[in-house]
Amino acid sequence: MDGPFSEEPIGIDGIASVPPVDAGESTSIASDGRVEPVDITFSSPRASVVTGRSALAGGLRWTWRNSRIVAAIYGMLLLWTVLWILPIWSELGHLLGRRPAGQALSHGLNLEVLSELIMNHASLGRLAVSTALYSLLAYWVLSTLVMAGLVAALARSFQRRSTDVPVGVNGESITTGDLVRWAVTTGPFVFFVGLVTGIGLVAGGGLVWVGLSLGRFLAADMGSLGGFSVRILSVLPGLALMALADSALDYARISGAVALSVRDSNPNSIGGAGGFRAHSEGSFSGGSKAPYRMARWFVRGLRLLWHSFKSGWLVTLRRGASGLWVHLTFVLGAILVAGIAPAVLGVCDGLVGWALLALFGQVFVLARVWLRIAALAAQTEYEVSSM
Amino acid sequence: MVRHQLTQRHRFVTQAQQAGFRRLVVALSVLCVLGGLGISSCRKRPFVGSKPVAWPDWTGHAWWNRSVPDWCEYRIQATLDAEKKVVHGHMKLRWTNRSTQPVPYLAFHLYMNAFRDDDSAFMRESGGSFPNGRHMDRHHWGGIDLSKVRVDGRERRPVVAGCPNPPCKGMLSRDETVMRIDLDQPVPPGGQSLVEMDFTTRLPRVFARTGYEGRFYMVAQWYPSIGVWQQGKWNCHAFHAASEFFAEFGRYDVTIDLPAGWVVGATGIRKAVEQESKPAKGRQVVRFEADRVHDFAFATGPNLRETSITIHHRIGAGTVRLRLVSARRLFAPARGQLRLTARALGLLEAMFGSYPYDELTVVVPPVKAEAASGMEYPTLFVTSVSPPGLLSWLGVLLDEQTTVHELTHQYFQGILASNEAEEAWLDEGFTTYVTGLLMDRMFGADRSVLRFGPLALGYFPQSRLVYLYKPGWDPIRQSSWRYADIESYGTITYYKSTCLLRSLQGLIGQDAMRRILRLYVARFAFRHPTTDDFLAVVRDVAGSQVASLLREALDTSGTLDYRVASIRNPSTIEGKREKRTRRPSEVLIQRVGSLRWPVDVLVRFDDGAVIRKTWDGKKRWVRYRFSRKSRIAEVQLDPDRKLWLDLDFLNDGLTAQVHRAGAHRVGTWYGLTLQWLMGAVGF
Repeated sequence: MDGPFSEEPIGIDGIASVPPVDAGESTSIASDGRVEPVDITFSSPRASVVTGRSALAGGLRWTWRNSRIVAAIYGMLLLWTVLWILPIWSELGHLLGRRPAGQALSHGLNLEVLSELIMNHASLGRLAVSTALYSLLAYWVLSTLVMAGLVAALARSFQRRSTDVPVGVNGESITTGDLVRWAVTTGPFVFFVGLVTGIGLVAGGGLVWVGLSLGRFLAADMGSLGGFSVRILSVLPGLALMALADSALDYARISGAVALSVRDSNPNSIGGAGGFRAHSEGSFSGGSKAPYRMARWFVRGLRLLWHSFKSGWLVTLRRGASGLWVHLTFVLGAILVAGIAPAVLGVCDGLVGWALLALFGQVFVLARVWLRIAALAAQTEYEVSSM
Repeated sequence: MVRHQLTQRHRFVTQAQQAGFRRLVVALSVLCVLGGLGISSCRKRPFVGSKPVAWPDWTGHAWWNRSVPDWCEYRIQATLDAEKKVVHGHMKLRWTNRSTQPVPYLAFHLYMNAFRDDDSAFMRESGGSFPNGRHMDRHHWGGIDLSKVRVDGRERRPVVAGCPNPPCKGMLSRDETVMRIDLDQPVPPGGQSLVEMDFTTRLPRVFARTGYEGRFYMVAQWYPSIGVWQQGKWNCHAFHAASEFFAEFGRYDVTIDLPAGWVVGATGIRKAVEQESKPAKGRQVVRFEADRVHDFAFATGPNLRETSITIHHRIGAGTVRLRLVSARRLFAPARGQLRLTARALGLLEAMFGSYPYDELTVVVPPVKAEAASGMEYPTLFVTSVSPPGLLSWLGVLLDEQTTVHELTHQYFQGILASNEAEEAWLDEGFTTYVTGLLMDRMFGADRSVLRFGPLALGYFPQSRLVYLYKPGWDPIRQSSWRYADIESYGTITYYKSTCLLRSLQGLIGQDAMRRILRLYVARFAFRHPTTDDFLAVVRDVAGSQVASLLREALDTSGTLDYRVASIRNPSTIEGKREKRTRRPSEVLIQRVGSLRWPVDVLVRFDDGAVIRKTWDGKKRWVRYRFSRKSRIAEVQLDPDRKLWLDLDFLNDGLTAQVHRAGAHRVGTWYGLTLQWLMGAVGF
């Protein structure tokens, strides 16, 4: 078993099997940003039940072989973070650099000092919050574009391997230009999905709030244990909706990107006629028709989302659950970082401790990026194979 | 410890490599926990000092045996109508004029009328919401109606006095929380007046201390309570949103008729019922007596459960019975609060003297009625219990804070009945300060309110955190209705005064502070001390200069803040020319705030030498010059962390060299957090 898919039997109705084909050539993003062919081998790419576990296992193997993609994306994340936190670092250095109290922070998190810092320097708090908001928003745009491009590249490679379509457009290798074109082509759809997910998250948050109130009401005259249980249960629907919306983001934007980049080459598929090249070229034409095209992409996104749900809500839920599994893995990683890094901090002071913290944190960040791309790769191949 | 942790980590990782990813996750989780535990013992000292507090034996006056004349004798017969949420009462009050002036009329509090409608001072000021986040249920108003009032056998017609205090001045006829009863003849000095009243109290749905919720009843501020005749006038303020209560000491004999089988927790001690008080079918009659108290409250309901423990007085002979009346479903965690009460009461007795009553009742209401919690009454307080284990699991000692705080009120409100409306800081400030001492003593100064792995916070740093929110809006000594808003009231009366008392402790030392507190309690137990009384005690113990500093901090909205403005070292000169060109090193210190408290200055030099000085802070700045071979490495103001009033601890110190490790570490934490958030929205 060498490919990204497990060899478990098919378990979802309506998903066609794809006959095994030979391994082919795909692409990878080099550390310098170039896209070049890489060796992607699949021994038995049968469509099968893609559970969170199998997706992760397959994806992990794929990313192991294409570690340059992981490295490139991680590098992007690291660079992005460093760029954004520089003002905070500068401000912290200005405020704490010559303060003995600041040295207490070199021994670990000290809430007393931090609270003094925040309460007496409100501008720092505002800077931290605004930096977080703006950087997250900007990173969402950036990562969405990169993800769309990556999914399109993967999808084209997987499709070529399974249908003997030449790599890339017109039989050429996929280039950076192709990647950018696909990113821009599928970008509007992915943004749309993000919007829908945002609505889902807000709705889920509202449901949590309602659940809290309801739980408070129901648990009022109940015992401590029973009341607590009722409170927990009452917020679960909202949390589930939020988790589902978050997971649906992964699923929908991947499947949508795949559909836009690959499935559209089939005139009978949803999304209308015309090949991928036509769409990607069209999206670059810009000019006065740009608003019209954006609106068309919006409608297209709606139709794609509807299609994905129409294929069966159970399937959707299951795929969402797969995403959840991956997310839980991330949460576990976050807990580990939160737990281990302070432990390292606790025994190592000064610059050594700081360096260890940074190193330790980055190991886990890299692991999370790795897991995420693995899941993305597995799901992309699944989407291609189930067309 | 360092080596031990590293060894553990290596061992776990090795196992994980052998067993695969799943075992790796498990192993790292265990390491995570171990690391979290380990850090607590390895964490370096924060910059706030924390010495273990010693508690010497009590050697003062046995004030707790002091007898108090019964200036007020209340006999109340109350019937709780649980269906209608109403208490019917008949009250007889024998009031004695202990002043040297004749009293022309009587003034009473009708606190429950604060919840009568939107026109009360309380509702106008609060807008119908309380700092606990609860809102008035306008479908279930409260109120108190008097159906018959007789004074010395003659029927009287009470008159609503309105609210004369700003900001409710101008709506005198709207507020009905104060009434006056005019008399035919003034009550002469030493004379008595017998007041009889029939009243009906409608309980509101509880959102601010009193009322009902479901089948739980917290019956407080429920009967007509006579004001305090002081200095030739009645001290009887309207019930304001940011204000509590003030009443005269006296004796209470209260008989309550309520449904059979209900548990009752009340002020005082339960006594045998008199023969004529036979209950009807399905009812029970209970009777409580309390002496040397200034209020009476009770809690009851069908879903309550009780238990008690008896502890020996820490000071002197005898015992005190601690009674727990808790919501049945919260009973198990509530017992933990009872044990905490026992422990904290022992410390309070060691600090101030013996608890002067035979019984203390701890009430834990149901979760839904938590708006009744966090309130103190004589020999009774209402605390809260969160969903069991949750806050404790998170290392948040919130319930413990509440319990210890309300218990401490037994001294600084129950025994020292200062005027909570006019000088709330005497009540809340002292209580919060002493609560901090107790919490630090019981849970450790560095982590007495939060102890979640590496995240830890002590009680006084937490108090500072709140104090810094609005430190200079109002003076501490001020009537509660004069504060800018309820936030300023809370910040100043609870937390600025706590920081002030802690600063006073730092200024005069722990022993002197204890002497002050003990003398204050011993001198004014069962009386109504004022700020001036406390200042007199400070003057007697610590001198007039300290009292003067304290008075300025109490009567102005000024703040305290010192900063090290600069360190100037001569440029490094090597070789033979050094002697000829050496100039002194300089330190410039600035007083930023308006309060002028003396501050210690610690100067550390490159060669390790340390010089300590004390600056009186009278001028705006001071410059120190040092002619030494070595350069100044660091200057730290208030190195022993005495001045908790100081607005900014960070600017209290300055180093000659830049040390960025701390800033880098915080920045790294921030960056890592940001990276994880980015991962949530993207890769």
